[in-house]
Amino acid sequence: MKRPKMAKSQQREPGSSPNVRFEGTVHATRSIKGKDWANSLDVDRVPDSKGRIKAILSIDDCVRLLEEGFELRLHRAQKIGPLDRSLIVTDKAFKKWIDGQLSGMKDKPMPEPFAETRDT
Amino acid sequence: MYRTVSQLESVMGILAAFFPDLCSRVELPNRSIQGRPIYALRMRAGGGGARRGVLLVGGMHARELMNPDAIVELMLDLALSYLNETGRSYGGASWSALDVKIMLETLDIWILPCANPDGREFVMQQVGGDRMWRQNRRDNPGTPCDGVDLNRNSDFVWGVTGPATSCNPCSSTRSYLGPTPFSEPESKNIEYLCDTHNIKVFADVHSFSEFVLYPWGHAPTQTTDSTKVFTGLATGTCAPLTPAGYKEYMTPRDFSRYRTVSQRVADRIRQVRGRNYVLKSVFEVYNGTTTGSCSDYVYSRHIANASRNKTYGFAFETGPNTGDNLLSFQPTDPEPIKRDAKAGLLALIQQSICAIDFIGTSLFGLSVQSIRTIRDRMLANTEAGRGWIDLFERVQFPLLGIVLSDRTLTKEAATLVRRVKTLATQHKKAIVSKEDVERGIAFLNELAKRTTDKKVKIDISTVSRFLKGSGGQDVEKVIAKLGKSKPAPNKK
Repeated sequence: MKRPKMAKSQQREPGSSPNVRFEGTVHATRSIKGKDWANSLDVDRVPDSKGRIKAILSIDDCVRLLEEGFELRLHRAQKIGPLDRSLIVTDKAFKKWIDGQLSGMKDKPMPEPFAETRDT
Repeated sequence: MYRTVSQLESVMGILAAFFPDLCSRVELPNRSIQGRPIYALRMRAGGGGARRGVLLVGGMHARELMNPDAIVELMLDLALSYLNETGRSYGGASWSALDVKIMLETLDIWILPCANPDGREFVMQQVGGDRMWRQNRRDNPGTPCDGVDLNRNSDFVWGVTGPATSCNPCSSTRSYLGPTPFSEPESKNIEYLCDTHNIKVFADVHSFSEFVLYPWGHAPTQTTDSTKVFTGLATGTCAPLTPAGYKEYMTPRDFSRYRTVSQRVADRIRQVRGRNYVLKSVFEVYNGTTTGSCSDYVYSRHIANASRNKTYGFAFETGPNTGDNLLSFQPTDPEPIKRDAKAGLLALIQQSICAIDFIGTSLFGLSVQSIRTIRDRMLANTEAGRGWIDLFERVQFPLLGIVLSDRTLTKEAATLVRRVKTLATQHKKAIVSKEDVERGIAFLNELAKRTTDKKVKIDISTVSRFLKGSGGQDVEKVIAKLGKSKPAPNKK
């Protein structure tokens, strides 16, 4: 992806960004000097199996990095928000699970420990 | 599906209420930054006093949701296996009822499954929450930005920055290291558990990428230049690590132990369903400096202060890199990954047992320090010596079950530990007598008769052969010989 020409961004107010962030990789262009650029990117790094510099990027991160001369390859957009409710165990389901696990265990006697680990 | 903070706490509360002889729930001294109580659970069976402790921590990074669930499930699984006297399997990885019994009767297993409850709540909070939240929920004064990365806040080379460590509360890295080391109550709880319990092995469970990680994180690890020790590094600089190109020392013995144990953990995980966890140092994850991490901190404690116990600190990164970070952090079906994690953690617990320490110290009140000194100062200094240590660590777990199941064998083991301790204490003058050799070989023969594991039989016969040639020699010569001749590799 070619780097789009952009005007210098204005400082955004916190919370003014659209409700989205991106998963993408960051790449140095010719204008980036030095070998250690990846160590000072200030992005939310996530591991990448191909060894690329992969990150979760806000709109502000994207603007800043483009202005600094990096190339971004955005792989997908993510809506900012909480964990989907369908992925959270309900209290009813939790009770059913724990009751099932412990069924018949309440008065289960402790096994006899190894002779030498018994309290005397 | 992921459990809420209160459901995770309920599992611990129910375990403690149902099985008070097995589980104790403890409220830690530091509540979360938003005032939530934080709990740990200790599991142990049988009697006895001082034991080696293992501490498993999860949920430090809020968005890594699977691990707190996996850790509480593991405790429940262990309790049920112990009480029902049954084994435990995760996919193709199995442990016998005897294995579970040994673990619970020789160790104190501690869990802190949800180290960052405010963060987890925020990830699940349906109004205003953020599923990608990583830090705790500290309100950083003078900034519009919240949160401290609890895994950058420990007192270990704190304040040195890198690709995923920042001094800026508003950093996009989400890795703000906090205003001071251990400024956060949640990370102080780790320090508290290490200070107050005999924690020998620690695992901080994160996601994702399928790694088993060991120190160091601030710099590459090396085993040759013992003058390079972190205590001499500048900290609190809010700048990259100096000097450039610095590599941190680890003793060859510890490096070998980390690699061996990590490999055994990875092997067990592979048995579950074939996933290949890769061994790395923390530094290698981003090929850059990470400071203030918990696993480095716990391992660094004995180096920073020699009066402290050594704790081996590991970190896991559970779950595959799917290429989609939402699905990597929070897969729709986390069950297979939790099984991998539970198998890995159980393997680590198993590797935390020291048979000599248990038989000598816990059962018979004998200090085994002189044996430990010979291991660490003499055997560990050569590759061959480390080979013998590795062999012992490999066979001790299967053999401990046999020994503890028979009172006569337990007493004989204690007598031999006592004799080895005497020889180790006076090693310059002491002679390994013919009687010592005969008694040792008779004990080994008995163990060989009772084990069905072919690999263990081979290891026993390797030790027997060595012992046969040691009668009448002084201890120093015997140790020197161990340090020169590596045991034959056991490939069967």
